[in-house]
Amino acid sequence: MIYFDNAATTYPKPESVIEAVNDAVSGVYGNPGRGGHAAAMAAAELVYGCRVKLAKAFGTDPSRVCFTGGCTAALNTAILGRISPGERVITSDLEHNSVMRPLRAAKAVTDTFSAASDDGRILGQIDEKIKKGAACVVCTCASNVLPVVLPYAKIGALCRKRGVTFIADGAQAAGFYDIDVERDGIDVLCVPSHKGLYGIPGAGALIFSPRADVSRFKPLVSGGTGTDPLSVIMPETVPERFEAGTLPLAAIASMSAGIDHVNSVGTENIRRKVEAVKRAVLGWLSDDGRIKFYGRGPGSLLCFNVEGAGCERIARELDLHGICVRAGLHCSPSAHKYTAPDGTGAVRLSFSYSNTTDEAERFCRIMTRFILP
Amino acid sequence: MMKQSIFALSSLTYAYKGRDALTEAGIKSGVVRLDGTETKKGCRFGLRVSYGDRDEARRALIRARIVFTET
Repeated sequence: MIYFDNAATTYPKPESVIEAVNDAVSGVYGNPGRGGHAAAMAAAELVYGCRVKLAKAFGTDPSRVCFTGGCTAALNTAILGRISPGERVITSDLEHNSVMRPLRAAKAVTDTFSAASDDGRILGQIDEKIKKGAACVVCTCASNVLPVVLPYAKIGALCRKRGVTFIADGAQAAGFYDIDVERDGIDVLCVPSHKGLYGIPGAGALIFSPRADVSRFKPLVSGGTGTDPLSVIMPETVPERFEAGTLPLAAIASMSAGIDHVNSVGTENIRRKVEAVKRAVLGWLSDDGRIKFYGRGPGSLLCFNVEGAGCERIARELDLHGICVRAGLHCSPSAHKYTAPDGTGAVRLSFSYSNTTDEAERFCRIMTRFILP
Repeated sequence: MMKQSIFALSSLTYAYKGRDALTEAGIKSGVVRLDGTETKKGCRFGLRVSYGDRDEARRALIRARIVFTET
């Protein structure tokens, strides 16, 4: 099998991640922060270890790393916790529904910029919209549909200069690009465990920068935190403010081991390998008039359609040949204005460090021999 | 038994942060759950250090900007 659907979730997981999950469920671990016995403290130590790794990876303090059930939960917390009804929010036209739906639920007035543009034009659009009174920028660091990476550090610098909150969706960028929330002017970065950090699904994190005003973010979920039980409101201190209820220990353990994996390989090497796989695919297929690729920029993915064939059909046929890809709208309908004009979406190939140029060649052979009309 | 000092922290995360700050300062400490009746605030976590390290530990926590109370 060839797995080219790593933007959905990375596969395979590193052996160290599998071992960490096994250990978390079979080892003697209690509920972190709930009790002072050895098992609870062992769990707490494991959780804190992951906090430290995330803090180091993304440029903040461990106390500013708040675990959630995933990146979507983190984005919901950041967006719904920060934005009041009627507030103007700047966002891009490449956003996933994990951004668009919480913005709608928050009753934000969205002002959208075109992200398929050069950095200067993107920043110009954002600055113009900030001057119209926007309080917040919410956008992805890297598209999940097109090979487009937004200039998040420049957007962050602009937001900081203008005193605007910047919420960044790191779903596709974490573990692939170097992001430092302090350096890059990001107030809060939302990341998942199970994509570029190579963990399993079930955990994510809200990563606040050291200078973010956390008091401006309301917690969405209330409940036990293991501290201050006599108070009927959630604590002011992070991370507990955003961590009501029991934490997903096995997923956090997997994320911790996944970060070690990313650190041992290095994001630059991950990008280099993925770019080699992308180049191999484009080298074989980009001159074929039957295929149209959308965008040739950086990022861990490629997106295309085949003339005269629906994207879902192409994905089904590839599946019959043992190739896993994702077709359709990828939960990011607005990004597809840059793909099929009929609104049916496109085929996405998304790569990870595990993919090889041999796999790319096998994929291309199957495409040319069996799939292309 | 050796006499010990306890620093109460606002959360478990801060207890671990405090432990790291003390380790950096060369002070051995342990994260412990505190007795709710003692803290008057219910469940809390703290750092246990030997009594002899108390003053240096206090300074290290202040340097690390970690808010604590001494019990």
